[in-house]
Order: sequence, then structure tokens, then C-alpha cells
Amino acid sequence: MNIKIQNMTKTLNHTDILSDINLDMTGGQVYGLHGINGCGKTMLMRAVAGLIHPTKGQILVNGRILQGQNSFPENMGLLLENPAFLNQYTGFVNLKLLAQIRNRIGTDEIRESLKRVGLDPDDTRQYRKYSLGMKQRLGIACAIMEHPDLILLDEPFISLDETGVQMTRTIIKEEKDRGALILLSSHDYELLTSSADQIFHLTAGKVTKHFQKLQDGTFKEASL
Amino acid sequence: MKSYNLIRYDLQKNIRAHAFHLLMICFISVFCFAFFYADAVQTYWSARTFHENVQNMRNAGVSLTDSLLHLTGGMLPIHNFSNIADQRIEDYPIKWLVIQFLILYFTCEYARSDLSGGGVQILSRIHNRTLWWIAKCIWNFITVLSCFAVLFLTWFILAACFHIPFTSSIDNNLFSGMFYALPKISQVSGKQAFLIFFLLPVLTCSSISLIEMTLTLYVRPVIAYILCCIYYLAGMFLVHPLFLTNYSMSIRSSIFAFYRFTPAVGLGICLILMLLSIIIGIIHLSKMDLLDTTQMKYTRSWL
Repeated sequence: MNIKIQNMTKTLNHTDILSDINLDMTGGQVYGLHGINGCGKTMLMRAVAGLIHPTKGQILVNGRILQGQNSFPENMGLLLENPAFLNQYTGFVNLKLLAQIRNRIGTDEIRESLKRVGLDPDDTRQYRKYSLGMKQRLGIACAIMEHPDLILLDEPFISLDETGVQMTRTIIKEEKDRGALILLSSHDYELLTSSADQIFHLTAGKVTKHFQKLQDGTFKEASL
Repeated sequence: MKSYNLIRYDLQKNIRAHAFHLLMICFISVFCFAFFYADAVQTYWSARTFHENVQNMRNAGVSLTDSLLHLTGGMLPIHNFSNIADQRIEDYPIKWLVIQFLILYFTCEYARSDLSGGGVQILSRIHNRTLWWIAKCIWNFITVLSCFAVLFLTWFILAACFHIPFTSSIDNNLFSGMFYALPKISQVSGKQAFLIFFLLPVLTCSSISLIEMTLTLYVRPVIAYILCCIYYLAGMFLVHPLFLTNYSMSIRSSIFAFYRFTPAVGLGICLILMLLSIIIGIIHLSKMDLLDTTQMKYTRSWL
């Protein structure tokens, strides 16, 4: 898996939401997007997910330009800010319904991914009765259940307790070791440093800083 | 297989809300039938007791066709708008309009809300915006169709329970009471009845519902809904083939010889509009940025 973002600018309503973004990302690495609220982290996530089209520049996934009808990267797992599931069904049924669309995995894999995020696959509670943390865990399970090559996690630590944060870190590491390319965003720099190999700092839609993890686990500013 | 799973997901997602919607349609059908029955009995009211008057109505041969005309007939257009104040509220096809407006309401928000919610998960799995849109169009059609199926099924059951004969004759007295004109034909054939009472209302409503769903890609669902309702209402007063209301009101069909709205032309216009809505939706969606509700502030102001 390889993602190249080349001179990408996104303008909405005459405002540059993202400006001249250049990034190069490869599989088996965790990339973090850091910045204050409204700096463009989610927009960049959506652009990589193929949900929004660049105004200028392009995004290449494995050499293929994301555009038009086929704007989505193949084999992608996605957690956006507000995970939306069907209120009337349990977590397991929700994941099963989504998994049935591609029919790549069976119930065993769904159960396994629920267990990985600390949810009980046999829990009979409807999604509407889930706490915020449980909803977030289900969102993470949904993103990883089909063993995607690209995992986009927008603010994955939000609403999670200490155990949940630790669990998410473990999952990110496991998925990285499997060879997936993981892009995660957070406004909390400390949380990002615990999981990411490289961190891009965004300010007003621009990548202003780039930090790289060293052997000793500390981060050093690198060139853009 | 993907398309089948996609449609199944849409149906399952809305199953609870849709069951409630169908129940509403069922109640409205009962309500409309009660109105028809009261109207029919009142037309032949000459005896003392209600039972005797019901018998009078039955003897007169009020049929299923009369009942369907009562439900779907609509109104003959007003030609002299200076007399519009003289129109009574019961002259307007309120019940028929309420049914259409309700169905439009049921289908107005789903596609749009899904685009900024769970639909993103679906899109990331199917990698195809066209397929997603077509699945939504099929969902839309199935929703409209099921509403009409429940409406007419309830109607038929009630007609059978109240001993309304399943015949095709038209009752002069009831007809003139409804439309202030005498019928120019004495009966409709089975094929004609299927066209004007079932197929055209379903297709006209489905076309407008698809147009409404396509409009929600450009404007807020509530605005799309209001625009479609205005279009529907305008057709009540404007006798023009481009206003589909003229085809959804069976009295304006060429079969009744008051106007020249032939069912075949109506079907053609509906199919063209449906196709256009699907194509415009596909083209627009391929260029559209899929933002969530909080990010939409960047793109729209009041729309």
C-alpha cells in the first residue's frame, strides 16, 4: 500500500480548507495528523478516503489517481468522527450487515474483531443503548474487521477510557505489524506519539511540521 | 451480489420506520374508505334508517370502480379562477394529496442523511458512487410501491368486507356528486382501471419522489420536499402534461373523456423523468464532496 498526495488543495466556498498538501505514505507505518480543531485533519482524512475531490493536485493510491466514480481506495477501513450505525440492531448485527456487502469475512471474524475492541459479540443490547465509548469501540471494530490495507482513524481515542485507549494502541500496533497503512488524527500530541511513526502537524489547512520517530521512541522534526 | 446486498441493507436500515409509515397509510386508507362509504350512502339517502339507506346504495350498484374514483379521482380543474373563492374545501382532493405528500415525506431525507452518516461505510466498501445511487433509487421505488400496495390492499379488503361489488360500472349519481359533471362512459375495462387507478398513481408518485431525492443532493431535504409539494399542488390547477398531478388524478385521464391526458403519455413522461433523475443523480454524485453535517457549513448557507 502506497499513498502519494501531490500538491493537493481543497477549496470550499472560496476558502482553502486544505492548501498545497504533499505527503508520501507507505504500508506498515502509522501516520498521525495533529492540529487544533478545524485545522483540516478530518478533511484530509476524507480526501484520502475518496469522499471529497481535490480542487487542485491529486491523490494516488498504489499509483491509481482517486477521481470521479472510482474515487475510493481499495480495501479500506474507515472510522470517521461520528460512527453511524443502525440504532435498532446490536453491534454484532450492525457489523454483519456491513460485512455482507463485500462478503469477504464470516461471523467468526466479526466476533473476533468485536472481542479485540473489548465488546461482547453476544451482547443483546441495541446500538442506541451503547455508551459513547462503546460506540467508538464498535466504530474501530468496523474499521479493522475486514483486514484492510488502509485504515483511517479520525480521533480514535475520543470518548475512550484508559483501558480503551490502551486497547486501541495495541490494535494499531497489531495492524501495523500486519502491514497495513494507518492514518490517524488527534488533537492530542501525546496520544499520537504513543502510536504513530510519523506525525504531520497541520495549521489552517497546511502541513507546517513533520516529526519522525527515532529508535529510542522520541520524535525529531524532519523536513517536509 | 453487491447490489442485492446494498438494497437489502437500505431496506433493513429503514424497516422499523417503514413499518410505521405503512401502518399510517393503512389507517389513512381506512379513513378514506369511511369517507367514501358515507358519501355513497348519503347519495342514496331516502329512507329512515341507516340500514335501509345502505341497502338503497347497494341496490343502486355502487361498485369498486366508484370507490377507486372516489379515492384517486382528484378534481376537474378550475377554469375560472375568479370563482376560486366559491370552491368548497371538500371539492379539493385533500385525502389524495395527503397520501402523496406523506409518501414524499417518507422518502425525502434518507439518501441525503445517509451520505453524511452510515452511507459512508457502505461507499467505502462498494467503491462505487453510481451503484450506491442506483440502490437508493431502487429503495425509493420499493418504498413508494409498498405504500400504494398497502393503501390498495386495505381498500380491497374493506370493499370486500362492506359488500362493494368488484365490478367496473360507474354510478351516475355518485360521479356527479364528486365531480359536478355526468360521466361520459358507463364503465372502465380491467386494463384501463389498472392503468389509471394503480399504475399511473404509483409511477407519478415514484417519479416525483425520485426528483425530490435528486433535489436533496442540491438543497436541503425540507426545501426539496416543499418544492415537490408545490409542483404537485400546481398540477391541480394547471392543465398541462408536464404537471404529473394531471396523470395521478384518474378523472383527468382521457378514458373519462374530459381531458386528453392519455395514460400512455403519462407513463412515458414518468419513465423519462425517473431516468433523468437517476442520471442527474449519478452525474452530480460523482462530482460531489461527501461532507458530514458539521462540514456542510463550508458549502451552503441557507440551502
